[in-house]
Amino acid sequence: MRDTDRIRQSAICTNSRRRDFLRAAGGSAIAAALAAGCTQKTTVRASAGNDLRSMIILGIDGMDPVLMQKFIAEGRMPNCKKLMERGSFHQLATSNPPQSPVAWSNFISGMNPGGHGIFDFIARDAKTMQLYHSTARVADAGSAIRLGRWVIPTAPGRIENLRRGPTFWNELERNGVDCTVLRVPANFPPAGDDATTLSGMGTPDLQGGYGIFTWFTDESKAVSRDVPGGRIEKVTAENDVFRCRVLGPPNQFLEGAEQADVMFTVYRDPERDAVKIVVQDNAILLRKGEWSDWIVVSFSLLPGAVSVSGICRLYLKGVHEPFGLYVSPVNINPADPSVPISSPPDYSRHLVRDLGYFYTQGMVEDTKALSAGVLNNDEYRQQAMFVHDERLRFFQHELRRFSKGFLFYYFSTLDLSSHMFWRTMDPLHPLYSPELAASQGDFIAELYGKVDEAVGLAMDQLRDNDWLMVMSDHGFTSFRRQFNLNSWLLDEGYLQTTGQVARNGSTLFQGVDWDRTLAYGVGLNGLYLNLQGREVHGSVRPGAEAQNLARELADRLQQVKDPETGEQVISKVFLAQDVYQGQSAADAPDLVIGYHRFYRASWDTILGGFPEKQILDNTDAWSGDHCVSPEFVPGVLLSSRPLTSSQPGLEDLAPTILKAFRVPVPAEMTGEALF
Amino acid sequence: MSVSLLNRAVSACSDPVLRPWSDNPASFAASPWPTLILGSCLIAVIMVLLFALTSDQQLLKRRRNRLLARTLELLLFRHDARVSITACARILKANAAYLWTFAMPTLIAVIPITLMIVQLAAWFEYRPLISGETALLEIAFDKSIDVAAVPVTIMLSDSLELDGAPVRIPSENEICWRLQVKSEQESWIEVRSGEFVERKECAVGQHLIKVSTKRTRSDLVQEILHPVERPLPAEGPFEQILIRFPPRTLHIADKEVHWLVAAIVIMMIAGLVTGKLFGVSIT
Repeated sequence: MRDTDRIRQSAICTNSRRRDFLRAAGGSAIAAALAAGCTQKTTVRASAGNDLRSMIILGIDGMDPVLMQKFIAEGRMPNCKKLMERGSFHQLATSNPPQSPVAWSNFISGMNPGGHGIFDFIARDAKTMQLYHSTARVADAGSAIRLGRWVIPTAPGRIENLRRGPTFWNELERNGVDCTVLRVPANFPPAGDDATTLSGMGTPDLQGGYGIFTWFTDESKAVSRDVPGGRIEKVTAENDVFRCRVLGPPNQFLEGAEQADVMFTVYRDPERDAVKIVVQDNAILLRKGEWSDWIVVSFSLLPGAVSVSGICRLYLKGVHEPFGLYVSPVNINPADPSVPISSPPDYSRHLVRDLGYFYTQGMVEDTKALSAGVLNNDEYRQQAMFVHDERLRFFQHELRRFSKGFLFYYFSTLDLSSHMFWRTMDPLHPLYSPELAASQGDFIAELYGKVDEAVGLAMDQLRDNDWLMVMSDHGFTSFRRQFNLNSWLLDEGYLQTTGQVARNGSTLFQGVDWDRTLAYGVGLNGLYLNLQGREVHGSVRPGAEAQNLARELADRLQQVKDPETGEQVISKVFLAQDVYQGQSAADAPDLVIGYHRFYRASWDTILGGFPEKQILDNTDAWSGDHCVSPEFVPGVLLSSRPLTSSQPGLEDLAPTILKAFRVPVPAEMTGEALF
Repeated sequence: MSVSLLNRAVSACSDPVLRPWSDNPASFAASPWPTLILGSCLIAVIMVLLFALTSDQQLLKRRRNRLLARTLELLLFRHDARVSITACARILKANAAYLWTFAMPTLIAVIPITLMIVQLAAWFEYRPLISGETALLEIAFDKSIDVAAVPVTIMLSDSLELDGAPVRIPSENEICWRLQVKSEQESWIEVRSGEFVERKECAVGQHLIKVSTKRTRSDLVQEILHPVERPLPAEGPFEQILIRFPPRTLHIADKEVHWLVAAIVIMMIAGLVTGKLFGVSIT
């Protein structure tokens, strides 16, 4: 049985539990919405695949089928309702694990993770035990000439997209179908070839990560330090002037690759709540509570010869007692990109000329600033709406230009905001309060409404020989309790340390005695055996010993109970050989942890930490999640044309698109066309 | 003659030539290229004519031929180390003499050419504001004035409005405001402090027009670099009135090109062609 088949079956039987939760949340309309069943098909006007002129797919990250039906029933999503009535609606089986880079890679390649090789946000190099982002890696520039402290590489560095396998848009382009694929995740650097593409999730900021904000403050208790996803800088005013430093990319031309920086000066009005900010050639005036427009900053790497351009936005939170200035992660400048972010490479410049600067970083909504308390709920919402409005503006622009062929467009705000605002809807979440629900509980519903507006724009353009699909990569559930997988492994003797190691604050497997370690957890759902011949200090013999250990771990992990609630923490542990097939299956984690609803891996454990407590409350604003067992979080598939398959999965979409345009489906694609 | 008068003279000569092109509606107004090409070609022609008037073409020719002869000497006798070494010295000497003949005409041409390029900068360095846009208005005061206390009033043309209260910056002796454009018509700002009133023009619109970013007190370098408006009086409280206009971007085949790079390339091509036509050697 295929991985997705199992997930599809489980999705049906677990739906009733999901209903219970949402009823508990007080949604009286949900029952009515669900009464229609999880799979609807209604009268259709055209048969799929006949006389196709164009196809539009809207990718809505994290759109949950149960919430969507609830909001449809409440009349908040009239366009989705219309699309449902005109065509069909299905729950869409997600990937295993249901993480965005994995799920979107299934969508792109028509393969399961064993084929495309993306198994988690985080991967590990078994030869060095170093962790890295799973979707892209910087290849070494090779030899270099040293001149004092300067290092001049003899060849340029290269960024490699680690996703393997075909992309449906390259197959379409090869067969003469014009393709525009904008911001699809797991496509950095863009694998565009002839298609017009813009990279999405996975595109780094200029520091090379998922995005580092900077918070400048003169608050007396503040200390300059790094926080997850950001940096807090204590600054002091001299004559009401602050000198601030924003970090840029590591300077590969300098020995030690220290980070390049840009200084800027903030002049504070001695009385009023307003400042003038001078950044290189730019000067702006900001008042308390205002966001700046995009500011271009240039980081000099080799003076007079090489510089890297970025863009950032500022938010002036406070001027006097305390002063507080938020600087967004420095995005790659789309008008002058230092690494490829689009195909053709000039496409991002065209967009700047037509529409102005835009967010290029992959995960744009600054969830980390909200978690760190730098932005409050309202400020995060403002920033998230900037992103959504920008996406909507670009979508309208593309729609105006689009006449035939294939168009994919991606919206991210619903996903990241569901992560951050689930606590406003789940009365059992540790951070829930009636006051919070009253003040912020409308945000997710508002965003579903905004997504519906985008669907309406696409529908307005639809003719009889066009096909519109609206799909999401996964749904959502509450993230109430977190599980420290590596702590459990340590406590149960599967992971060993060299002597006494401070457990709280541990990270990156510091102090792990690899020679005596049997298994370790990496990323949100991955569990690896410390296998001889694969891991650099492998201790488990491949074959029967490894298989027995894997089964033992799976059995024991499924028995873990939350001591506070008595609930099962892990719903199912999947063995890699049962769920992954393809050329990259050997790179997969040996076991995939399918957490139960309301549970997820802790932030510490995913990066190789093993704190004292195994299970604890999730008190981070990141309160909703989907990195659980896949059957709990199916995605959405709305189609303007009928589909014959009643249990569609993500990897079925690429073959469906190809078949719709009468393009041969490559043999590597394991998905099946849905009509 | 003051720099101010000189600027006015150069403007009086160049503006009538450039303005008809920029005032043309539709394509010409939308694209800065025709005006940039015309302006650059004009400078190139003037440069060639000035060079023709101020250089000794016969002497230039003789010295160039001598340099060529010395180079040939090196090529012909490259097997003879002694001749080669002495030929190198003679090449250096001939080259120095050749360059020297350029020095005086170049020095003479530099002044008007610089003034004309500064005029071009007023057209191409920045673009006017458009409706809905905001820009920073910065007024720097004399060091003797306390900006935290000085009374300042801003009067604006109907097309502009101030977006909120100012920011006073004592450390820079400066006050700044955010200006917003309401409509695209002739625009100006009037600044009043005590009995002193100064006006600054503010370029607004979609057409290609000259943009004056700054009015400064009389100062040789500042006056040369900001030729569009008269300098501020030295006895007044204002040192400088500045509006931060957005930079103008020029593109060739989707690549952004700085206007000065484009102008220099056009001038070089036009100079070579004009020199050929007029029989003036500029190389």
